[in-house]
Amino acid sequence: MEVAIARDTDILFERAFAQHWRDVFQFLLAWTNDWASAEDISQEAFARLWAHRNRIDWQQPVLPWLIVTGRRLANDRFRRLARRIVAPPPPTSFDESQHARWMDVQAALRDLSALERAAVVLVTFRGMSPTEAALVLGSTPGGIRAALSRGRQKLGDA
Amino acid sequence: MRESRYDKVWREWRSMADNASSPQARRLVSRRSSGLPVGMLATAAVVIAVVALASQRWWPVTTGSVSPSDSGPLATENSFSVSTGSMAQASSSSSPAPSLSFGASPSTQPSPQVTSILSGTPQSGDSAMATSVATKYQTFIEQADYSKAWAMIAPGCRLAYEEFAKDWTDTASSWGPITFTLQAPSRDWIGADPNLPERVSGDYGRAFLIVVDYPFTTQTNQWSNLLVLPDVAGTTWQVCNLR
Repeated sequence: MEVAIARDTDILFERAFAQHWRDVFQFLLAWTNDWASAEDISQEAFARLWAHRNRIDWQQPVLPWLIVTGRRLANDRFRRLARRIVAPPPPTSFDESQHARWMDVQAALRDLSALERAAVVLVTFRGMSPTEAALVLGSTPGGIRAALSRGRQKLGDA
Repeated sequence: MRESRYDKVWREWRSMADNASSPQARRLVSRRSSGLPVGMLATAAVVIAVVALASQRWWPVTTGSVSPSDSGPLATENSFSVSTGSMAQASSSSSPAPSLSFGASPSTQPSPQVTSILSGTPQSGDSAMATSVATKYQTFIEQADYSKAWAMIAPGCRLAYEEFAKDWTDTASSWGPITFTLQAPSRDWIGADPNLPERVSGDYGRAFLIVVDYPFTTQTNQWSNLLVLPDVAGTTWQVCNLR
């Protein structure tokens, strides 16, 4: 019986990984604006999901759990990095041209806050409502709408 | 029509982010399960050894009065099985890495040294104290008394006060009062975050993990894992919200 339950949660974990890896990575890329950190923290978030697999209610959406976990992991990491004054490493998976492209995009988005970038990804790209995005981002629906508007203004597109 | 800068930047962002490669789930879990616990074991050993030396006492392996709820973080789910090696071997770069894995079945021959270090020795009443501290912390949050809640957080675990208060204020304004229910304390803080001793100091021999459920987030898979433990001196209990 226990073995069967363990096998089921393994399958559910793998399914969640296949379904949500990209969503989690893209959210974290927006939140951190750093490719290598987003990759690392995505893996850490899924490692936490694995550790909590017997506690998770698999009948309910798992993505909000992953995003909240990823956001908190990212905040923890950047607090520690800020104390140590260590620059994040460059992405190792990029060739030279990809690296240059990413540097341009990263620089353009640097003026936006984490909330502004994440709001674009979750609401505009992922189709979440401002209320749903507010829950996972620790904000309010009004705060999300304001972040979307500010983000557009900051990129010179008022 | 000319593409705006906003659209251009985000189009480029998406074309890169959509092509990001992901590891396989099995590889990720395998790597994590073989990598993290080694560092965690070493960290836990150092922390607890320092505490033991500072308080001039040693940690008995099996003695002491421990209630059922105080016992064995490693005997339940998410247990690690340690197939070879003592702590000295695990932290030595010259010796082969021990084989560590997640699994439901306990190891047939766990290292007694490793088990004793991770189990620690809660004192009688620690479990009730942990519940009381967690209740106090969550009640401050429910009452929007954020400064008192923030003061209970372990220093290595604190956001800036403004950030902490804003997080809870926004949540309360969106969802109403932050009512809560607590689950029974467990000793499985390692399952929640094996790297904790690196950033939060305290007496991990007496640490408890308490799951906090929030009725307003029912059906969203949201809850908090609250680490509750005394400081290194063993005098002041503190909390750390792990997620």
